[in-house]
Amino acid sequence: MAVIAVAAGLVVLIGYFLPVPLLGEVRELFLQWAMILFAIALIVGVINLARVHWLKVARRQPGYINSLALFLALLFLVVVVGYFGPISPVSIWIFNYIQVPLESSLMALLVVVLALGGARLLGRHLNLFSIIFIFSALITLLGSVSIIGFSVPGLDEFAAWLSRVPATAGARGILLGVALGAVATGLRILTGSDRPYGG
Amino acid sequence: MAEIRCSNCGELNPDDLEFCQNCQARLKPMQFPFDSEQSDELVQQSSPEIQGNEQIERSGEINQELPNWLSEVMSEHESPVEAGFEMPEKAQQEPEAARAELLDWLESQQPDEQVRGSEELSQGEAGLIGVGPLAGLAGVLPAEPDIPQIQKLPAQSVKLQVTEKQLAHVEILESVVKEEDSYHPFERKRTPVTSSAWRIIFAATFFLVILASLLLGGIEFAFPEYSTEVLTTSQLIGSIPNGVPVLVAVDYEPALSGEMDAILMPVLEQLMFKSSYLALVSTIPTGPLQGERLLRAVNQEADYQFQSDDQYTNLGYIPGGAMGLLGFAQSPYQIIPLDLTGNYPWRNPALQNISSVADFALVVVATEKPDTAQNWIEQVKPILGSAPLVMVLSAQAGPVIRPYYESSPKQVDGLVIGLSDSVTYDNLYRRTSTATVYWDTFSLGILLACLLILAGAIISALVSMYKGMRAASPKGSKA
Repeated sequence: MAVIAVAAGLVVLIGYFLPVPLLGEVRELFLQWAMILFAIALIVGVINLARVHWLKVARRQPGYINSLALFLALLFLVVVVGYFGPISPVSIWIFNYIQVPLESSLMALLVVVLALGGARLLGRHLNLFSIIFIFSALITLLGSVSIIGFSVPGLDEFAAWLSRVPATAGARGILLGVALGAVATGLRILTGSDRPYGG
Repeated sequence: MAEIRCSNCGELNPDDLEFCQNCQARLKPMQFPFDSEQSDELVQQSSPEIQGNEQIERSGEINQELPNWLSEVMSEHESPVEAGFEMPEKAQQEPEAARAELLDWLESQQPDEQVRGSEELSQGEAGLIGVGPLAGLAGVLPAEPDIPQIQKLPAQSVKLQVTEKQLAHVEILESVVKEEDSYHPFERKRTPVTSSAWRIIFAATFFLVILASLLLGGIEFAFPEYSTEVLTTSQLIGSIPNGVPVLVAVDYEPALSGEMDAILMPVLEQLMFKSSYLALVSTIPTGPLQGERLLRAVNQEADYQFQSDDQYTNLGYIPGGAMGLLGFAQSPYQIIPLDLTGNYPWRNPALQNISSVADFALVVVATEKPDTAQNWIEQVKPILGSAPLVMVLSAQAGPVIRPYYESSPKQVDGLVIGLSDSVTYDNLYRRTSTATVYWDTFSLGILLACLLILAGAIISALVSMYKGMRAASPKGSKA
């Protein structure tokens, strides 16, 4: 298992460095296989989800009503989208008037939760970092809007500076960390030290 | 000089010693008033039959002295001869041959050499009982040297020897394994009344103020100033020829479609104005439907009549994440041979010259996730060559992706971040899209959130300080 994984990784990696046509073809082949496996994994995941919830319904486990709703909705969508097609007016209607409103409503709840959390933060943790956090959030929010005829001198510039300097610096740090982590993970897999596939 | 071997330690000692020089064990039986030498001579000189009769007689004497139950036991264990049974003739005649015919497994049951040696020793040298009612008998009772060898086997515990810490770990592991199979109903924590009240107050305030602003009109907010990235993006799109293929990735979830649709619409409008052939694609399963829905919305809002196959194609979902993107960038027609309608789109005049993603005139990626944006930048941008890459991002992903735009050379050629950039884009072309319609209400909502957070933070801080001071003050301060 490890030999196959390491060999596949090396072939794809070397294909980037050496302009050998054969390596490029093998790399493309591996990529196509990976995509096929990924798509099959998605289908298997959906089937497993349906199976788990169906078993829950069949055994009358606690909360089986929710599982029944999920199972029926899944079955309904498979039948409708399979019969009418993925971009038929029926499918678009289901997407527009069921999925989008449901997910958007959940997101809208975040506004209330986050605002309340911000308001309570200083009551729970009254320290310097909490004050800086609240102050930065308020400046960034206020800097993105301006009432006609009412302006605070320097507010927009300070908000822009917060966004471009400290936020960008933090983002660059995160990106560098992620890149280093990706390189380290890749090397561990290529050397066989890390075997997420088991074995 | 004759020597006698100690039956305890095996040391040779002179015959005249009574105790072993090495271990002080007794070498000879104790001397009693009766004449034991005469008794020994009698025993040695007498024939086996006499010895047997004598033993029977003595055993009869013993039986008289023993209790009844022991006598019964002894009578049960009499030899076959004594009990009147006759031995088989062959066995009587050939005792040696009978012994030789012992089965192997029975032979293996014999005591080992060491044990036998000690038995022989006890019978040969100290086997004769010199005192008591069994005096003169050999091998009746175990000899003295065997006594120390008989010891109770050490008790072996069948329990696993583990420390308390290991036992605690085992219990934790067992509980974790058990919990996997058990159902835990959601524990509804009792929320304090004040907490629920604050939630309701916040939600009601947001809802009422925004609804009033939408219905009645409210405060007018100034449009944001032009940003360089928006100007660059509009110039990039303005510079591409009319009717060329443009790849548009609709990579955002339905939950954020309220923001992302409004941000992407002005960009799409400009592309449609230039009659670009749009190839929609997505790396999330709901993306193709999102793209279809968005195009229909733009058609309706800006009064365009973009039709599938003629002006655009929906290529659908690219599986495989970053790997899928790389494969699509290298050979899109191999990775996605058919569009969502089941047709082969690559024969279309607008797409027939597309062999890699670099053959598109422009690539526009709309996403709310920094990871998705990074995948496009890292996997697709190196293959794009001179074709520009434009990112349309939500406000949350903007700061993470901005370094790619500000780097040199640029890895992202154009940026549109958040609703404010979208309004700017609209103003550039003097249009009124959804973003501009939202702007006043959006700004009012932000202002309201700021006020609520600020007021709540000040009140919370004061209450916290008051409680702290009250707790720190001594109890007897009132007196």
